Amino acid sequence: MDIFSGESKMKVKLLVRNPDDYLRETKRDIHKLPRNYDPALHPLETPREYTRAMNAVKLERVFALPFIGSLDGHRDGLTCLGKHPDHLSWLYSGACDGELKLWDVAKRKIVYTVQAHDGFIRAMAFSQETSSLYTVGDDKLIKQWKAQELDGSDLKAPINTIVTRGMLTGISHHRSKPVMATCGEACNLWEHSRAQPIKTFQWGVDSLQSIKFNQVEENIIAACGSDRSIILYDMRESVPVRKVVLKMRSNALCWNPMEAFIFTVANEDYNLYTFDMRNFANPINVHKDHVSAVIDIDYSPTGKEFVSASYDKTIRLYNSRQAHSRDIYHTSRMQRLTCAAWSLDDRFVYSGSDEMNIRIWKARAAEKLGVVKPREKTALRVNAKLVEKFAHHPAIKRIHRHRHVPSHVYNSRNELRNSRIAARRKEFNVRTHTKRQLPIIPEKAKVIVSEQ
Amino acid sequence: MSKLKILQPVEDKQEFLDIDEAASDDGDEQKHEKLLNAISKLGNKKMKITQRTEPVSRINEHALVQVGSGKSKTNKIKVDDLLNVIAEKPRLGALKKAVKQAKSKSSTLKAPLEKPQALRVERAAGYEKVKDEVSKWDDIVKGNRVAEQLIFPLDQPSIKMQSASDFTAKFKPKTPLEQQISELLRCNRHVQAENEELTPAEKEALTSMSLKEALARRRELAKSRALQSYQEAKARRQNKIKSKTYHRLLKKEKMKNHVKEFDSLKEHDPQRALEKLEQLDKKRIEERMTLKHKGAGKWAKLQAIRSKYDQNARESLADQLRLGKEVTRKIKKPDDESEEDIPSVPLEKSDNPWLGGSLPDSSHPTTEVTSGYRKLWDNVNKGREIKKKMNKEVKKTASKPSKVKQSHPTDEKIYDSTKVDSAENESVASESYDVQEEFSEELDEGLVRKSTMEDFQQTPEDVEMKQITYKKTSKKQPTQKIDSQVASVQAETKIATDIDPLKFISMPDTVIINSSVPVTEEGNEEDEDEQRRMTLAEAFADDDVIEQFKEEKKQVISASTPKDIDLTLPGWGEWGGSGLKLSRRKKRQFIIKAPPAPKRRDDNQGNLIINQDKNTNMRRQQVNDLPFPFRSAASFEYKIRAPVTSTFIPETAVRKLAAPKVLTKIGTIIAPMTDEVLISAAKRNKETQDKMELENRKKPTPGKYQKRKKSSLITKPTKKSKIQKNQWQITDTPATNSLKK
Repeated sequence: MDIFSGESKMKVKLLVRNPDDYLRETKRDIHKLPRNYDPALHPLETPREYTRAMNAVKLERVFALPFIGSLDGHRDGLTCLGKHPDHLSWLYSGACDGELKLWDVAKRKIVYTVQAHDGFIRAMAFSQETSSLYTVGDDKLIKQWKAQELDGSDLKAPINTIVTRGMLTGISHHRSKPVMATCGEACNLWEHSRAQPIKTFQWGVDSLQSIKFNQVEENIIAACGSDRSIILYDMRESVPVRKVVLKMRSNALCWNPMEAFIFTVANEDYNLYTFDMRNFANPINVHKDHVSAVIDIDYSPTGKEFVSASYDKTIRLYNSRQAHSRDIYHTSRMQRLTCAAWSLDDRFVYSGSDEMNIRIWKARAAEKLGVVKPREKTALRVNAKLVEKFAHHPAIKRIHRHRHVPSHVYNSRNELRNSRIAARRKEFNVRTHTKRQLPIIPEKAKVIVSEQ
Repeated sequence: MSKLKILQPVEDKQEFLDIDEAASDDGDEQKHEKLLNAISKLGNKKMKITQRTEPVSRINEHALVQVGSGKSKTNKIKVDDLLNVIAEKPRLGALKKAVKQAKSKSSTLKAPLEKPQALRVERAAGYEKVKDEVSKWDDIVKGNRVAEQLIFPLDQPSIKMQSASDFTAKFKPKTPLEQQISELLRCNRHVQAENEELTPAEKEALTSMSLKEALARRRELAKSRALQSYQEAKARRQNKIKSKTYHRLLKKEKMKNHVKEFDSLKEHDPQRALEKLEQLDKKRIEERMTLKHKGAGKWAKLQAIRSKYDQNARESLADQLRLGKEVTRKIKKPDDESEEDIPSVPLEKSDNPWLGGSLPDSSHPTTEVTSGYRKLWDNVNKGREIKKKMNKEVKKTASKPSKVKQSHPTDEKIYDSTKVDSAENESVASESYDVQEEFSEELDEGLVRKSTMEDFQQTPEDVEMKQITYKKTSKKQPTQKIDSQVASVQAETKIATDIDPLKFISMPDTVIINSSVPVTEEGNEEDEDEQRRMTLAEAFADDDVIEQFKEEKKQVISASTPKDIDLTLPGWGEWGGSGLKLSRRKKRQFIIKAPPAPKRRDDNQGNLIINQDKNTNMRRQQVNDLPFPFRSAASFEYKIRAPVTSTFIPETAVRKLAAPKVLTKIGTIIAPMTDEVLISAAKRNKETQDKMELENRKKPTPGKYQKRKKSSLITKPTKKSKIQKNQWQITDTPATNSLKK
């Protein structure tokens, strides 16, 4: 017939059954389910996904147990925490009584304890090249310790001690050069081999309480002054570079490890301010939610988030580009926070507080810590995606955003809100009843007093 | 030569004079004392003691002698003097020039700034430097912020396999053998190009025709060409014919053909018929847009002048105007016909125009007309004088039709309602209409509006009427049966009178001025109330809101009532065939009866729709405001509608969609960003650049081939420039690419 001649265009349909299409390859493989994805056959896609999103968000809250454990052993309140740049599980902590402890976080045990200073240990910094630890204390000493031995035996005695003239409140180390900066009555630059500062930056008479080297653009230093200022230094210059004065004092400062020109300060006025160092006219973001002075801040190593420790007995986790915190951690026994740190693998958060404990938290409250198999991982990711997709729907949003907070936080939050509303109302009334037009100052710019 | 200590006052020259005078005095002691005084005085000022070795004729014992002292201060040696000395030496000519330049340019430096200011400047400069320095991270930071996924640590070694195509792309033939082979391959038509199924030779073979086909094709082409030329010749010949009658006939025939074609299409192919109709309509629209048939042309003006004396001219002018109106007539939409069955019940007088309270008093028909006129008159003050003058003129030369109208105002009514046979009268009448129309073009608005007020009580046919006379008749006998002929006459006038008012407002008619028809505008009384209602009517002339509202309500009610659900399958369980009725069993079993509709709150309220669909429980679950990154509700809804789970989309797609923004590796330290990232980013950019370049090179540009071929011989400058341009383009493109990254 015609079919068999070459000219015919007729198609002959054949039945093809290829086992590859419907049989799984191994016994451990999942069963193959042929599926028709035609949307016409699934008219209720969105409602079904909504239900799944609802379940996902509820599960997320069920599994949100961020507290992992506490490291107790100090005999006085914590003052500072130090993450070893090369060892994830090594955590150094300094206390008010001058004790320095090395912890093994994985085992939650003290590795070594040493009386480092008389009085407070104010701050510590690591030099990665020489793998040494520098501490400053109220006894006006800078001490250098070796930080190499697994058993911490090199903490027995400092390998170097520098006697300084003034009070020291903070220290930071250059990322690659053998240079460190201390702050106190002035900002001093020190070199490893010298007993005298190689450079002194002074601007005004007030003292500085926190100093940090920029880890990306390595020669830049920023410090917080007690005259409510934030000062920018360039190591190579002979004078400080820039100063911005805020309405209230900044307690701590942290550079974003992934964005060279971004840093955030923890302020006394319950807020955190993120600045672009190229524009001090107003902060690029104001992070609210704390109900008491913010004492410390640390960025996550990815630069996407940061943790803040506050005097209101809570720590909060912020997305670095959002104004409100994404999570709040607290326990009934945790007192005033003095320091916080984000682990270098981006999974944990450490907090040190007045009541002598270091606490370990998960950076993402609902994350599973154990082994996660691929299918489970996919399921978790899909759940997260679903929650993200429906995050704006009121019912899901409510569950997603809901956090139980201590009553004092809850009450003072309401109080703050009321006072804010009252202030706004008053401003509105003033505006409406004055003839002369008052200039409208954006909320962000209000915090800046002056820039020099 | 002797060493001299010379005192030089920095500022004051007066001191010098004193010393000079003192030196010239005789008394030695006095002189000495004075000198000492002067010196002590000088001591208060800033004195500079310089030591010089200079030849002096007389050596003062006190060794405190001013150079050049004794005569005058003008005797001081200046640089110019010294230069004069060396002027003879040609080698030192340059020195003179340099001194001159230094003199002209010299200016005192400014005093250094105070310390705080100086520090401020230094800080500002330092800050600028730092700012510039950190700005190099801008691109990377921005890129990371918007990245779909970031994998930390960032500086991971990129493991990549080099594919064969990559290798071949970079490969350049070096040895003579390689070059020979590559040359062979490049020029050969039997080598398959990349991404192509066939070689050029194969392609050619496929596309080539057989001889038979080629001949047939040529024949066809020749035939069509001949036909075309015949047609062109014919058209040219026809264009040359000057006879007007011929062209008129041609036009008519064309028109007839069009109509015939349309009729035939209407039966067979409604789609195309519609298109045809649209085409015709477009023509009409074009006509409406032009000034044709408006009486504004040269010919029309001439005719207007003639029309005073010449009956023919008048007729032709009227004819032209009628034509114009015909094409500019507003076409009633078919849905207006549904109004026909609404009885024309005169309602009580009210302000609402569609309640029809505006039924004018039939005893004063003329005042209505004139009030309309007056309205416009008042608006157009300028033309008033002219018109009046013209009126006088017209009255003087009052012609027959105007007389008829003036003297027998009821005559027309009679004519309209009953058929008048006399041809003369008819022509006269029609003429009068025409003239009146053309006269009233400017005022047409007024008339139109008046009639539209009555639209709401009358049948659509009546609605269309603009002529006062017809209105009167319809008012008088709204239910009177008019015989078909009259109806046809009416229809004709309707056609002539239904005019888009806007069109005519914008077009001042030139014919009016010279027309030989009297103007009637006696009515002076103006009813305020009437006017107000009229304007309302104007505003809503085209709406039939009540009807729309009723329709809407009906729809809402029907939408809210539950309906029977029919689950029957035709032919299921029964014998098939046409015209079968559903059995009672099936009806009972498969048609789910809807429950009776709940009572609506707006059942008895005719002019009210109460929306009862609002579901507050549902509302609580929905998103109130548009979330931040979205710009429109549509895009947000689209995002929500798109499924992300594997039930609805393939597993691979799910994985891609659910990929987390940030990926970290357990137990890996993430170090802060380093310069290497900057470098690697630059490298990546360069790589892409190279790739682009390679791709471009792969493209067979004619210039390139020639260059290759003649590389051993000569390279023409034009080719070279072309290639360079090309290369420049290549380097330019990846810049944008890197931005995207």
